[in-house]
Amino acid sequence: MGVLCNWNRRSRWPIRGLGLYLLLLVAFSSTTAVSRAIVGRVPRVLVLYPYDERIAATTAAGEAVRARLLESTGGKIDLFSEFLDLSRFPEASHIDRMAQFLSTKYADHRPDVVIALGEQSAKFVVTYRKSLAKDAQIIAAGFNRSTARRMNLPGDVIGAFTEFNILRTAELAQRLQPNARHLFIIGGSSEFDRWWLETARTDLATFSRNYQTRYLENLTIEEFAAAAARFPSDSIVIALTIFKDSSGRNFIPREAVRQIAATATAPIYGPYPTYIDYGVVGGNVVTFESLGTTVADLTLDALKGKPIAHVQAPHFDVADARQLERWGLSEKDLPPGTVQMFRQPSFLEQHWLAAFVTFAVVALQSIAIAILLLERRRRRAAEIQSRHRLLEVIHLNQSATAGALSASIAHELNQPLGAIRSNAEAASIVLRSVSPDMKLIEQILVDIQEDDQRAHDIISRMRGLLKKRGEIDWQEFDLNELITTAIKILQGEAIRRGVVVSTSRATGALPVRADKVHVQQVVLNIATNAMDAMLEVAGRERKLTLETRLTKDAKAELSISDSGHGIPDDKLATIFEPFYTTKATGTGLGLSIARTIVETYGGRILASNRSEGGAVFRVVLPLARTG
Amino acid sequence: MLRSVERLLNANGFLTEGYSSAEAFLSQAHTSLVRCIVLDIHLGGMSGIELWHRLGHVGINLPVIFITAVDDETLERDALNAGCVAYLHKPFPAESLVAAINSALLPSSLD
Repeated sequence: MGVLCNWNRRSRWPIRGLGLYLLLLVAFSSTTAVSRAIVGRVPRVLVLYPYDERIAATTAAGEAVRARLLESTGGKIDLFSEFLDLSRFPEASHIDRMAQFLSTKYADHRPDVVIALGEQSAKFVVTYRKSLAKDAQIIAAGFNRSTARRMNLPGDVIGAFTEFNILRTAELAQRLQPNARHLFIIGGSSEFDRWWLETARTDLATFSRNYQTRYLENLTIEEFAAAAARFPSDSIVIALTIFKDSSGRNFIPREAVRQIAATATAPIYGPYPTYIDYGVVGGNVVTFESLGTTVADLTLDALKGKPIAHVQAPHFDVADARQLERWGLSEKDLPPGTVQMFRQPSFLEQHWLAAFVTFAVVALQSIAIAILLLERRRRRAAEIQSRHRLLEVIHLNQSATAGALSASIAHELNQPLGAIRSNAEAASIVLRSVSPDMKLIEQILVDIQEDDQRAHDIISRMRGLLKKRGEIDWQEFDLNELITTAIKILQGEAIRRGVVVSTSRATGALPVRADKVHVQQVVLNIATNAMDAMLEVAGRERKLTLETRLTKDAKAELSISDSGHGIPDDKLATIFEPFYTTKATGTGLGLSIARTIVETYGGRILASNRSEGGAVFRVVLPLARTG
Repeated sequence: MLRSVERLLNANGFLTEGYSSAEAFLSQAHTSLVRCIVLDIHLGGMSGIELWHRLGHVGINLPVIFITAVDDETLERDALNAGCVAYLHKPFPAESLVAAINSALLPSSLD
């Protein structure tokens, strides 16, 4: 129950001649005003509802009226509501009794304006206006002009009419289904239903030419439902009203529409807002709210004494978002200004702030991660590059050391070569003698082999000194052994320079993990530096001491001390800086490279002066974790 | 090296005494019996040149043949100017050493 159209349907009033009506219209020009001035009190407005308070359509319209009136007057208005319940109590005697009761009830509170919602309320108030609301302005709402004509509404009763324009509903459907080729129009068998069908035939005459059109009428509800199940998918279906089917069964139209929509294979449209939520996609309708607002505006004008005239409540295109989705129709095809009902706001619309913040946070994080990854890649590339540079620099340093030591290495090599030659020549002389001393020959050969081995060892050390690294060759070795090799390399140079080399080794092995060639280079750099330092020292013994020991905190320490002139105190801090040199021929890189190498292997290098003169360099390396 | 040179000289008919350092020579050698000294320049400790100078200081002017593994032009020039018999670079051919010794012994035989 409770559709707007219901307000029309129980009309039993004869339709008067059209000509007379027009005459009346002209005579009164449908313009009236509240005749009596309202003085010293707030205006009174009585709203008459045709049914009980449970009927949604009239109640919604009435609520819209009330809300608008209260808002516009700032609450300075007396609003009265009467639910006439005429559909359940249509007996004339009851209506009479109710009219008497209301007349008595409002005797001291005569309303200034009576709003009659629906045709039946209008008929009631027009019939009993003298006793109930003498002098009051009557505003009727919720039916169309032709109904007003039919019920012969008095000229001073102003109407807020609701005209149904079925073409607008059809056009809405056309916009949503531009590819539709079939048009079905559904109507019932009641008088009103037939009026609707006739109206539609007239109004849609042009529109329907573009479609294969069929009017479904004179069918039972079951036949309607069965027909609906066979609609081609490219069909537009317009449901008018079904108050009665061909078998004479009465229906509330929207319930009938619901049954048909349940089986329908194409979207259904209708001209009533009450059809929404009963399976139709939408239509061009007068909403309860817009009707209520229109009525309230008329009332306010009447209360201010302004002349008022018939108006038509504005129409709206209304659509059910769920149905749009069901039929795969696009929201974008809706006419501008269409009211969408039951529209689930999209996730973004509902939680736009949270979504935006989340998106922003995720975006920022992504950017940060990307930057960090890029940074890491760049750093790694830079590390690799710097490692390669370091290895290259170390190799250059090795070559320089080899160059500096080449003279002494050549000297060293000449020793075994010279011995071999002398031995060989001695042997050949011995062999030429009458009775060669074979025992001597044998000793000579043994010596030659040994000298050859010495020469080979020298070459090996030289090769080791020049070994180029593409990558660090990690290996575990005893620091003491490394000292032995380093001294052998330096021995020739030390002798040449008159430097006495002495060593003091820690008892037990000092295993460290590093690239042997690099650590050896550290020793050679410091040692050649020390020998250079002693070059200018005259009259003092030139002593180079290499010492290894295990420190208290379990680290391997190698100290290289000389008997030179020491390092000036103010230079101790900068001695490991690149390009620091005291020598005319030095590059100033030896100690700097030594420090870089030591730090690469997790160690430290320190320089200090000895109390007895000369400098001491200490290299501390972590012990290799064995096992 | 020492052993190989001794063997070489012995094979060529010379009597030899070998010392592994200048200090050992100074403390042990009977210089009166020595006719010629073959000296390595780079010895551990006192160098061959220094030993020669020392001997000169104490009036022992024996002919000296230097042998060396190191190329040092200054040292070579000084040694030759100072009157050494020969300055040989290791490894040297046996005949150059033998020839040098023979030439060292020659003036003495003329005396």
